[in-house]
Amino acid sequence: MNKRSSKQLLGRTAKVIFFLLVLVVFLFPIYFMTITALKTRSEIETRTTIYPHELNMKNFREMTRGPWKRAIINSIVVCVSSVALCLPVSFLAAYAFSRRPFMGDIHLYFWLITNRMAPAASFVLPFFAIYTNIGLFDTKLGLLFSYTLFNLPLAIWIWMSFMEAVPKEIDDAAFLDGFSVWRYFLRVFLPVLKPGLITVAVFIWMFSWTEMMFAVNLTAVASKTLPAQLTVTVMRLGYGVDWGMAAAGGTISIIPGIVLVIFTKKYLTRGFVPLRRL
Amino acid sequence: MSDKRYLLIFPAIILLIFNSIFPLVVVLNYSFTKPFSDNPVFEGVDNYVDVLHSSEWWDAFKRNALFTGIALAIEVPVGLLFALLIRGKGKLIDIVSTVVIIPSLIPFVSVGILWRLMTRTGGPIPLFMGFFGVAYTLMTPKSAFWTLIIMDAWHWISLVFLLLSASLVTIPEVYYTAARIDGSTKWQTFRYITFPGIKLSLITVLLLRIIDSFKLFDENFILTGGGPGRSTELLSFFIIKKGIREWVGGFSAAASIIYLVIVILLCYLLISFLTKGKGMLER
Amino acid sequence: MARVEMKDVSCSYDGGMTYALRNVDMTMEQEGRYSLLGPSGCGKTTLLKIIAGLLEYTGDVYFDGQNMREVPIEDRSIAMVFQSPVVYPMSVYENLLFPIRREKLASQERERRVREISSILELDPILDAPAHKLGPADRQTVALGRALIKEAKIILLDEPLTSIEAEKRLVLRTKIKRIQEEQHKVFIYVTHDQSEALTLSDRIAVMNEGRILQFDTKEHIYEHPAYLFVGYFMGSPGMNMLEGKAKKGMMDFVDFTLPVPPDYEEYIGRHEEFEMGIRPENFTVSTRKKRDFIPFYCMDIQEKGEGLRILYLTSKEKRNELKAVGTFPDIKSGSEVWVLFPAGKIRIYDKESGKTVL
Repeated sequence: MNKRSSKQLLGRTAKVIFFLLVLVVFLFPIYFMTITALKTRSEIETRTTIYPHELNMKNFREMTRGPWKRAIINSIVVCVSSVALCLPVSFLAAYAFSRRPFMGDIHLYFWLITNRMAPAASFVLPFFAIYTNIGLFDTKLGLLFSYTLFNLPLAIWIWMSFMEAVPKEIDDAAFLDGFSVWRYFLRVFLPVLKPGLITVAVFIWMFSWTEMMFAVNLTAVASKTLPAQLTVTVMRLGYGVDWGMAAAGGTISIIPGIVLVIFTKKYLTRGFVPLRRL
Repeated sequence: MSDKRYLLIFPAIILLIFNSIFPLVVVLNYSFTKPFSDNPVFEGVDNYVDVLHSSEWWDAFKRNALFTGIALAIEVPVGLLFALLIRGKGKLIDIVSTVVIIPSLIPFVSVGILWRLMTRTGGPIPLFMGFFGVAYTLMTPKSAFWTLIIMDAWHWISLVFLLLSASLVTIPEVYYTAARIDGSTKWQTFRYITFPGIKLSLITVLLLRIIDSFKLFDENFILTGGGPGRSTELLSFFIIKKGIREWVGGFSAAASIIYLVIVILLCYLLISFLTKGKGMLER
Repeated sequence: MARVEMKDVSCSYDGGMTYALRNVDMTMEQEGRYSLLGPSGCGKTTLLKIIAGLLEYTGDVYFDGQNMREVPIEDRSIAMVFQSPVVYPMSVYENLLFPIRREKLASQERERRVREISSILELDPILDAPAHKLGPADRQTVALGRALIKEAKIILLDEPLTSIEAEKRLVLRTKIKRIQEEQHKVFIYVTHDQSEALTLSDRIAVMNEGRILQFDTKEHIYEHPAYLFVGYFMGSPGMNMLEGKAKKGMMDFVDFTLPVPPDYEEYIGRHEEFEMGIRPENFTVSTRKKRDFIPFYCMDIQEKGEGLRILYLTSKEKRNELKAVGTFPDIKSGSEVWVLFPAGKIRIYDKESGKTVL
């Protein structure tokens, strides 16, 4: 074995060790939360173990009933309706921005994007006040609306990057062939933009699924989402936190993200590329 | 056609007027009054003066700036390093890159829970630190602040990685081949090929992370609750605390507006950078 | 001096399932202009990359008798120009300087070399321009300059004109040609375009499906293609190919027969089936019946340029089709013609392998 290949071997070994280290650092906390959910309360409270010595399914069973079940269902309802609302609305707006220059579009676009960047904390107080007055407080509809503040700009942003990759000649050809705008969208434009559609849907879903600031402050009981329910569990003062339950809820909350990353990884990467071109 | 395009953005505009302009008007209104009292009266800029004289506000601001600085100094280089090392083909690389992305898709609350589990008395991190003879507890101001930073890094290195990876693959392989033939050193290859290729993404991610760090709330709320004392109270937390818990709406609203202006300025910086010399929408 | 030698070189991208290159033996004896010519996927770029040291391979590659297996790219004394123009984000001047910046040269000498290359390639007017903002043709010229400045013994050119817009291609081709005349090095030029190969090289290796089918001077390859494929690939239009059978000491093509050329008598005596190839320019075509001429029908005529025309001919019973190239002033489309197959220009190939039988 000569000098060059032994050096290469060393480099490869170092790289594999680095990879394994990365895996441990990123996976261990997730693993630890999952096994905590499977431990008994006394095991959690008395010692730190790296696997459940006594398997306890009670925490996960608890997820299928009462406030946890309601929270999970609320989360799913809000996410699905967010996607259903924001997907078409953002599509139309992005189409207008990318294909149909109009007066003031730049300023409008800038305003849209700042909404994505604006701190949610600044909006909690007014939302709270408005919603309590018009009866949207503690409703899923209220949450759905408040999420559009961030979902719409992000969705428009991502849509546009995908649309810009589609040559405008396709538009012209289709209109010359006598397509109406709506038929053009359905038959020509959307099929070409399928990766964009998936990316936008994934991002809207993920944002709605992870949102907590509005979920906590704009709900009381009936419309608590999973993040809100988790917050309540962890923030319960006086009683002592039921960590097994929090860990079980936390584990459930991770599942969609993991599923999405496995099935749509290449789209996720694409979803961030637009930031380059805006 | 000219009417139709306004029609196309109409739904988006309606939703955003309801969800952005309207709340903004309300919060502006609050910031000039004493809301939630029996007799809300116009108080002019009193609330703003109060905020700017509040040491709590300035503490939170400075803390947030410090937090942002340190967190970025960790996340961006490490994320870049990951993007440079975890690329190419192979099963192991596929697995590692997928795993690195996972944290950015975990709800912020759950990240908070995860790290509270890790840092609880007798939990894995105190045990691990104890192994090296360091007594660790989340409950000192210093360790709470640093844990918050480490947690943020754990959470967001993935975003830096994702964005930079996406931009690295756009650099054609042939550039690296040419550099090898020209006898380019590793540093020169990075300086003249890799860096120019990812420069735009690098600055984008930097600004995005600055903006997001200034908005951090959820993990802050869950992990430390701003404590111990006020040692980990960041801007968002401060505003929520004032508005919802301490019920000083006027003060909170004024702080919100100042906060919003700061973030929008950062945002403006980002957008004007990205569109520099290109025309806003690349027409 | 530079001699490039390959012995039994093979290369597989998928661990032996399929081979991009198989059992290549080839020697480029001295400085000169060589081309690797073939359709896409024939292995020509793979071979070039192996010479550059960019790919893993089995077999051996020698430069001047030295086995290059363990020699890293930077020590190989090679330079390479790629299909897509590669320049670094700096000025044209700095780009040209880049490969020699580490050589121990007086700065005046370095400057002199940059100036020399830039004047040959006519880069002087844009020497201070940022190279990455130039058009593809100028970028490729800069890349060419960077390859030349190193004083490498071997210059590898991987389809350098393919991504250049058509109107600038000819200009750059002329520049490459001039460089080749002024700089005495080994130039290995990869292309799928035979006219590039013919202008920019003296010896051509025609490749297909991972093998070198023929490696020879361009004249010899044209006159004596070693394979039917080579005959067909080189030339426009390519060589005519007819399936024939040996019958009573003649070559039988169903609706006409030809006498067996003397060189092939032995082979055709032993084999019943074979393929015959003949170049389109080798026919004599007459409007009147003559002795030994075969009757054909002219279906169509196309202008080839430079006064030449291509005749599309079909035999009496439409069993055989031919293309003939020449001036043919009095031939009309749709008329009957008589065609002479000169015995000295007929080439016979094995039916199975498509290989020349000589």
